[in-house]
Amino acid sequence: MHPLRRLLPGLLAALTLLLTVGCGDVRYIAIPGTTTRITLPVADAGKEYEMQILHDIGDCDSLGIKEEDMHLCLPYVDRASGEIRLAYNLLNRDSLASLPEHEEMLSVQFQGTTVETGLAGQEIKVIPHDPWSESGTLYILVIDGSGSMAETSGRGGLTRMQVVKQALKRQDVVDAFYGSGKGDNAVMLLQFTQGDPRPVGGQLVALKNRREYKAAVSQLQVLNGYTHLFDAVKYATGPLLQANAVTEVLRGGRLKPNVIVLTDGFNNERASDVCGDNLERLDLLLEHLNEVQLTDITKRPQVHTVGLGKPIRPGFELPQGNTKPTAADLCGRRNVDTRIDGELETRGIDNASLHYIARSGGGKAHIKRGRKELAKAFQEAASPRYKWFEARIRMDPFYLRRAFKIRLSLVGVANAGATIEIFPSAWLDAPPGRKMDDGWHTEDTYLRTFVVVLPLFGLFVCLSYMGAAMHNTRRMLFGRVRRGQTPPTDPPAAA
Amino acid sequence: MNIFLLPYTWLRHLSMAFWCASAGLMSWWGVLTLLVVFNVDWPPTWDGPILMTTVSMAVCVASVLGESNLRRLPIWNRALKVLLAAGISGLVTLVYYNIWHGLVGVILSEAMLRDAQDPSLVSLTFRVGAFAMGGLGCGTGALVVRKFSEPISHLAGGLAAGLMAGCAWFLAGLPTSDTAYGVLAPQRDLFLAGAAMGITWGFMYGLLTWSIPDELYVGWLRVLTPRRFGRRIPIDAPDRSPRERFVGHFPRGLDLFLPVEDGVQELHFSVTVDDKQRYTARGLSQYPTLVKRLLQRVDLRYDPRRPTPVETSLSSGDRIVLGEGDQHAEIEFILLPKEEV
Repeated sequence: MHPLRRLLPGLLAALTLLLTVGCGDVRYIAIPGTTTRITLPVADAGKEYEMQILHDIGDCDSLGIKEEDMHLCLPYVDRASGEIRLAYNLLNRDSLASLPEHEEMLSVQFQGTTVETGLAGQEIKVIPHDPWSESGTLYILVIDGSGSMAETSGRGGLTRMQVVKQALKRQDVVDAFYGSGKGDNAVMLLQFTQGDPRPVGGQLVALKNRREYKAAVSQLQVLNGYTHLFDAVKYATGPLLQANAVTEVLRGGRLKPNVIVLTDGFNNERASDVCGDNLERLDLLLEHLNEVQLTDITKRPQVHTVGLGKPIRPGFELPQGNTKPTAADLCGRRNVDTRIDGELETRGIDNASLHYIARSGGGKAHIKRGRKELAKAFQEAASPRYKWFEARIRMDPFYLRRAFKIRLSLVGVANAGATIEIFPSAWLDAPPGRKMDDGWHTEDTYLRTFVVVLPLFGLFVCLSYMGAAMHNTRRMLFGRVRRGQTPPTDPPAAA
Repeated sequence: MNIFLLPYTWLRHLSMAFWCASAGLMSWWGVLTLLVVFNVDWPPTWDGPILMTTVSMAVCVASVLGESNLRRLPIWNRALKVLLAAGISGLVTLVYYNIWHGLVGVILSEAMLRDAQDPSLVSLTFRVGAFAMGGLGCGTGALVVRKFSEPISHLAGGLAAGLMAGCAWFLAGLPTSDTAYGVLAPQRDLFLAGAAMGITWGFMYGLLTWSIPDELYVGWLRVLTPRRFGRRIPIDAPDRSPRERFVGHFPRGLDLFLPVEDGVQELHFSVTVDDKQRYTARGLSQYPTLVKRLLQRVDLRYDPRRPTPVETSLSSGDRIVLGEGDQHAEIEFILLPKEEV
């Protein structure tokens, strides 16, 4: 039998096997410009938002992403540097939702393990893209008016209240509040000590232009009394939003509320209050804020906290997850029973509580001192919302040498999560990423492969001539090629 | 590949290696381009079979095409051989790969099987079989096209080439943090690891499986002294039968005439070639006849006391000096491509 005929059954079996191996129900999506495949990302069910991990050029197009950012929109794995990039946005009942910056609120799980910045070379960075300019913001500024605001802040003999007023009047802060968005922003200014916060000027009005705003800021004054900070936050995120003046402004989701609370000390409701007394009050406030985060998304406020002064717990970091605070968290184990009035509030501000409040309110805490820093805090608190985000994750490259699952979940700012399974090729890889100015890597162009292929191919072509070249050179050096000769002599004719 | 560019030196053995290495490199690049540029979304489990099959086919085709080019076969014949080589090596690689894949499923424990079946796991332990099967498939393809000549060379060479490619891929693609292999793995990059794999596969295959045969060359005698410089005669008969060629100044019947003024006798010496293409120089005169090669001088003067002429084997580049002093002629023995005839 002809050898080919013997091989035929084997060949047919091979074809069949090839067609069956790897064919399953799973749909793999190839990421352009890479050798990575992914499965369809799965958003967490039952969450208020649907987190959409962008994986298709069509998704990016529909978001209106600029051409130059299009490459940032797709998943990317750079196994040389150990970096993973995923872009995501949030949907609320199929309509696009915007989000402020929220790096601290994004939790990333790699194969079920939480990635933590600073741990074993791990790093997470969230980069916002495309500021949302479809709607405006109603900034509700709730400023501490307690007696401590009359104390001098240390520089130039200005009182804390004067520092706050100067910071609020700075051009860059005013610009941040009345930015360049299409929506008309507005500001409401309130002050608090005891009881409900009171509108500056006596009447609750939305300050719709810079002139009105600056006039209202000028009217800020120290009111004296204790610091009912938690009540103020609760009021600003609850009853205030039901007030006619506010509902009118927020009607139809034209503006979104953004509460910014400033204090220079502790929540202090009585002269006998000790730090530990604030724990239960804070718990109640956080519960309230968590409930607020479940209300109608168009009216839900975002809460930022600004602390003016020195933090009482400088190294404080919020624990992972939605864990409840402890008394020791707030002011340290030794100060749990220390009086606030005249004791703790002279040493610094309750930065831990401010962090907890901001997290539950979906915003950020800013602990600052001085006019410039305070202005920066207001600017950050007034930062815009964005359409989509890039999550950049840095791992030990070793872990990216197999298929892996990544789960992104948002806490605080919004309740959402999604999981994606990534399959880098075991056999092939695109050129390693190009380092950008910020130290992260981005896809290198495919042309980079020519840098490897062409010289190597050229080298092989040259080497294939090497034998002939060396042979001829040697013959020339040893005088075996033609030199000045006498004419050739033919043999004599035969007789 | 062109026989005229391959002089009969030891470097000719590397030319097939370079040729196949180019094919290995380009085949890796081709698959990479399919994935990166054309964004073909086959499942990740197909990466291995597709890459192994492509490289196997390309290297096998390069070897067969290289040989056909050297032998100057008709174009249709070359095309047929190339198609046959590609088809057989590709399909056989797939068969071998899947047999190996099936065996792995039977042999390994469940925990190891999970790793072995992870299509993204970069690990030589679980990929070495794929490389070995690819190499074997590559060798089998060329073996069939060459009508089962030199089976050990083809199969062992193919296997070694595949395994060496796997090692190159592994060492070049180690994580940067892994320093266990030191200078053995100076470059750490999964992108370059693929290139290293393709090149190593092709190079080793070209080096080990098929060497350029001597039958593509024939021996020549070529005059180096000024009178009749460059005059040359082939030694082999067109039908490769044993033959003897004579050199002297006798004007009739000799194969290469050299003038008597150069100290050449009427029938001075001869060169023979046998049926195994071994060349021998014979001294036929009592006048000086010297074969010169590196660090060696062989005096071929005829000794009347001996019944037969003095002989020495010839290799390409040897010089034969007839006569001495001012009166001498110099001839070189050189192997040139058969097509020179």
